[in-house]
Amino acid sequence: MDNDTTDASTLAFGSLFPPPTSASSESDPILSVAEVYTITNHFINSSNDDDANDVLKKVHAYGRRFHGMGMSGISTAVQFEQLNNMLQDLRDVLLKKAFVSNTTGEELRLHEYEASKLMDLMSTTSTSDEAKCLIPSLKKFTDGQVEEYLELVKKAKLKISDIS
Amino acid sequence: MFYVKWIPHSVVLSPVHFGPKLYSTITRLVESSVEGTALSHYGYIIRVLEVPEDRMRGGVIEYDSGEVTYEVEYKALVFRPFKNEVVDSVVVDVNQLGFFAHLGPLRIFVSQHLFPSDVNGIEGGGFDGNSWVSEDGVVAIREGVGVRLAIIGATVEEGNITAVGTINEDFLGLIDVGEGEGM
Repeated sequence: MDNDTTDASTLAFGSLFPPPTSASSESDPILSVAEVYTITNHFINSSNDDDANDVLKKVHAYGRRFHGMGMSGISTAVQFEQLNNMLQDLRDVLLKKAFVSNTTGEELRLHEYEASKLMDLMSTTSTSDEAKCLIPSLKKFTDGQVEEYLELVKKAKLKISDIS
Repeated sequence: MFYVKWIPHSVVLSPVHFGPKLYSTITRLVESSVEGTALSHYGYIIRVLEVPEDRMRGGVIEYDSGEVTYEVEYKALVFRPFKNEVVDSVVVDVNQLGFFAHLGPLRIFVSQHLFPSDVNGIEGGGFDGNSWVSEDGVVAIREGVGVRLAIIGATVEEGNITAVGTINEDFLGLIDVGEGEGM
C-alpha cells in the first residue's frame, strides 16, 4: 500500500485514482456510505446467509448505521429503488455544479471523493466551516460556494427522509 | 473510501473444467477467491459486481501441469482507508490505552494521546474503567457508541488492513450513543 504518498486531504490517492488529464475524462466511481448500503442490501437480500461473505455483512451493517440519510423507515425493494434514484440524482447534481475560481479563473468542480464525503458527513445543519474542516480539499471553494453544495445535500436528505 | 474498480486477476483451471460452463466456472472461481479478502493495493474486496466475458483473455497452457491460466478483469465494490480521511465508526473495545473502532471490516485504533485534552485526563476527564469521559461528563466514549475520527495511517498485514486514527481535531469525536440513535 502506498502509505507514504496518499493523502485524502489533498485528493492524492496514488495510482488508484490518478489526477484527471482532461475535463471529460471519467474516473472510477467513489461511493457514499448510503450508496454502498443500497448495493449491499441488494446482495444480502438476494443471497442466503452462506453466500454473503463476512466483509459484505459487516459493510452492510455499517451502512445501515452510518448512511446519514435519515431513512430508518426504508425496508421494501421499491423504497430502496426510490432511494437509489435519489442518491444518483444528488451525486449527478453535485458533480455537475461548477464555479469559477476568483483567483485563477479556472473552473472548479467537486472531485468524486468530495461529493461522497459531503453525502456521508454533512447533516442538514452543517456549515461551510465544518465542511472545510472535515474535507480540507474544499478550501479551494469560497464559503458561499460550499454553502451552495451543502444546500443541495440538505434538500436531498430532507426529501429522502420523507420516503415511507 | 468505498469505490468501484476494475481489477486484474489470474485464474488457473485444470482441463476438467473445460466445456460449455467454462465462463461460469471462471466467474465462480474469481468470486470465491477474492471476495472478503484484502488486496494490498486496492483494499477489501467487498463484492464482485461483474466478470464480463469480453474482459477475459484466451487461456495460456502451462506446459508442466497442463493447466490453463486465464487473465481476467473483474469489477468490484472495494473499501480502502486513506490517510486524513474522516470516517464514522463504532467503538468496539475501550481500554486504558485508548479505544478500538470498527468501520465494516476495518479495525481502527485511537490512542488516548490523540484524544482532546479534556477527555484524556490532561486537562480533565479520563478513563473510568469502562469508558473515556470528558471533564464535564457530557462525552463518554464506551463500547457501542458512534465516533467520527480521522485516519492518520493504515497498514496491511497478511491480507488484513488496520488503521490508526485521531479524534483530536474540530468536529471529531462522539456522534451517537448507540444503535438507533441518530446523528
